[in-house]
Amino acid sequence: MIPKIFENAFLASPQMAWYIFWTVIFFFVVYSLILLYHWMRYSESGAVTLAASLVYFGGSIVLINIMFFSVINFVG
Amino acid sequence: MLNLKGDEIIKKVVRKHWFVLLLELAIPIIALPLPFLLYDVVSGQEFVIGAKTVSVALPEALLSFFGAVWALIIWMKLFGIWTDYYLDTWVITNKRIVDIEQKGFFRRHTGSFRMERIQDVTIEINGILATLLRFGDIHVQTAGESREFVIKGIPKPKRLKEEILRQSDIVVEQTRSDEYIKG
Repeated sequence: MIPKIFENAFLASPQMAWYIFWTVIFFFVVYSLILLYHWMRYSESGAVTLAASLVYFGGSIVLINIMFFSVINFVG
Repeated sequence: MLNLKGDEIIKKVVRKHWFVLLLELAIPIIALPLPFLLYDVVSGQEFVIGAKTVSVALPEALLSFFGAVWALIIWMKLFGIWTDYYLDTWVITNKRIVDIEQKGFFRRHTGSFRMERIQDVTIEINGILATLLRFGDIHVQTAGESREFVIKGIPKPKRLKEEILRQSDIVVEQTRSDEYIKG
């Protein structure tokens, strides 16, 4: 029952997926800015900061792409 | 990062042992596949609720969307934990020890104590893993306020203790020498 209601909510309003997508992106941007601030402000090694940034944003881009194309596929 | 004074130079930057980080990362890593496993178990199953029979099934696109959202949340959490680990440091200079502790994102505690104030340094290694992986706690007792500084879970505590005592001896000798020259 509960999953069907959940699914029905999305089928009735596919835009809900976009709302969730942009909400998650918003929180991701805020959180990432906080992380970047701490790395740049307090890290004593530029190389470590660079490596951490590359891994973090590299992985995040992959996941965000999956989210994006999943929403596209769902909404149609 | 650190304001060094005069002829002060950094001798060593100490962070917690990698195993301590791994323990903290373990919970989010274990939590990552749980929703997928749960869905795997209940999908396709039929449940009787009241007079109705329902089955659990989500469109594949929706499934991959929520899976990616969950993975992104866990990914962010992992880097938050790593950041907290990376910013907790003991900086040992030729003049003092600076204890930097990052408590969450918006609390940062920095304390320092001068080498000549160090009275006692003890180490503590508890457990089989700590013994095999060579990590433990260091307690530094300082003069004056009888304050104790502790850093937990650091690698090779015995070597660090020797380094601290060596630097402390150098500073004390230097201080005595300066006082002798003045006197």
